[in-house]
Amino acid sequence: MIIKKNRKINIYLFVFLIFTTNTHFFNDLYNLFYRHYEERMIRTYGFCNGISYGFIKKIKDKFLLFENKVIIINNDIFPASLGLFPDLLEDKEKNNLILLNFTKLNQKKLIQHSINIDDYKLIYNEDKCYFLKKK
Amino acid sequence: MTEIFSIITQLIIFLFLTLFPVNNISTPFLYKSLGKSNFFCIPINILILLFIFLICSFFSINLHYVFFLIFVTYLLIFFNSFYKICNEILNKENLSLKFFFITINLFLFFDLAYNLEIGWDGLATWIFKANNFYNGHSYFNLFEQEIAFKQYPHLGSYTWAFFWKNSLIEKEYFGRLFYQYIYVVSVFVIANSIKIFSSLKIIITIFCLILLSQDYDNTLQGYQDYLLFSLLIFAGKLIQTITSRNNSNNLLLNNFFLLSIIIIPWIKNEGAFYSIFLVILFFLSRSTFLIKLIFSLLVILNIGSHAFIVKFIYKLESLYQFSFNTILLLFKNFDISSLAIKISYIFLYLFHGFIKYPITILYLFGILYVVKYKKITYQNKFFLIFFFMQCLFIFCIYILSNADLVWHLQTSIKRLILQTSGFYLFITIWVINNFGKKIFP
Repeated sequence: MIIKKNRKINIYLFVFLIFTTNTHFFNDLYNLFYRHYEERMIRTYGFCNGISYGFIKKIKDKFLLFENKVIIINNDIFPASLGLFPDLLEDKEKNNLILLNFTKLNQKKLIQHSINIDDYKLIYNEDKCYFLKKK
Repeated sequence: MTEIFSIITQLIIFLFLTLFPVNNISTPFLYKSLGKSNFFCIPINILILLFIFLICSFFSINLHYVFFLIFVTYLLIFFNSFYKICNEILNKENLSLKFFFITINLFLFFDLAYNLEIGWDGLATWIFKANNFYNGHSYFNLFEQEIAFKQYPHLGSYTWAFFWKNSLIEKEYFGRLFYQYIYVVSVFVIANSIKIFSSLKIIITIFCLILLSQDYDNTLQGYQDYLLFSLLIFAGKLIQTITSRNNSNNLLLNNFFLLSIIIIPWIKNEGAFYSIFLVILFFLSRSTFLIKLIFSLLVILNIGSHAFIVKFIYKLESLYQFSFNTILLLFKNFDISSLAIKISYIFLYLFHGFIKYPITILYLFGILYVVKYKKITYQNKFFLIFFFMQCLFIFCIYILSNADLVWHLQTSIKRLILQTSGFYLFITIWVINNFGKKIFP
């Protein structure tokens, strides 16, 4: 009877352990303890590559404190980054411009969005990401 | 540490909102009809919750107020029979299953909390809809915004926004945790439907089901397919309950089935077709003709209202991603060889989809067994007819598709296979319940 009960407990433990490894439980728990939300977001979406969450977040916290409208143009093919920021809206007047993954500023992609780069002044830049404001 | 505490709190919120109003204490009559299992009451409560969300989504109501109203109502029910409910929660019956339910949820929640990535469709479409509701706007406001695929349904995004807004630290992924929760509930519903299994075997079954159906690219990343997967399982369970006992004329169960049919089209476009299939199946049930008629009218009204809003009020094109012109063109320029090529491609990608989700092998086994040994009972008929209609649906949409066929197949057929795979598992469950003692002594 005791052996049978022990066997049952062992099977429960075995299934439980497989689940922990299958769902990466210990790894997840460790990372949740030591990496805060923003760090995990930057690791997922990049600082100035891909969706460039980190750069946009920095601009939002530093330069868009009293504004919530911005236009974001990504030179690489990625879904729109704006979705990750529910408090930001698309700037139809194109006053605040964030350019992501641009090696040069005078590229075709800007023409597609009917943006003349000469109308803007550079506010901040890191690597291939730029924040510009209309003059 | 705060985040971990918030995740645990979020699970408690999910549990609280889905343990009421239907349970063995507040609705003992329904509890009996549902096979005396709390794991079958949770799906009913989820359906009720989603229906409330659906109604609220048409109005610009702050999500905190919606939460407050639901929470207070359920709190009143809770305090009305406080001791009985506490006794029930601490009851040793099914303790291992209850423990396992909470643990699996937490494991999957932690996994999502670490892997924050939202998939392409999630970022391009669903999160914008969620943002709209998060900011307190209504469904109609979606059409004023410049977002892609405005014509897509919105209920999944509303749910996302609701639990995002009503979480302790208001991070986006707290909304997506509810998708995981519904998925775990649906897996428990399937496993608990196997009557001949002990709790240990049920736990092993749950483990296998999660291994066979889980797709990390899809479950965690804000896609709506697992929502449809789970809701179709709930609908399947209701069909099983209505047909297996003398419940055909149980109006409450019928109404819950109607609720599931009404909710499904508001999750994804293909849900509209599943909704039609389910109402066709309802005509085969032993319910009275009047109920069948009222139900079908309500379903037509439900799907029609979505189509009306999209097509006639906001004048958006490609409501279901095909146009009647394509169908006319296909008949006009009918070419047997190109049709044969299309069909062969569809078969090829169907096979690929079956490999991607091994859960399909489980239901194919059930279907083949039932057909081969001619065990087509009154109950099985429902699932088999749905399977037949789903096959026709898959072939029709790809043959009539405007898009490049290979690209369309590569991006979507796996999802179509996944969405309904849980529904057909009830055939396999029937086989196991009736002949399983030979297979699993």
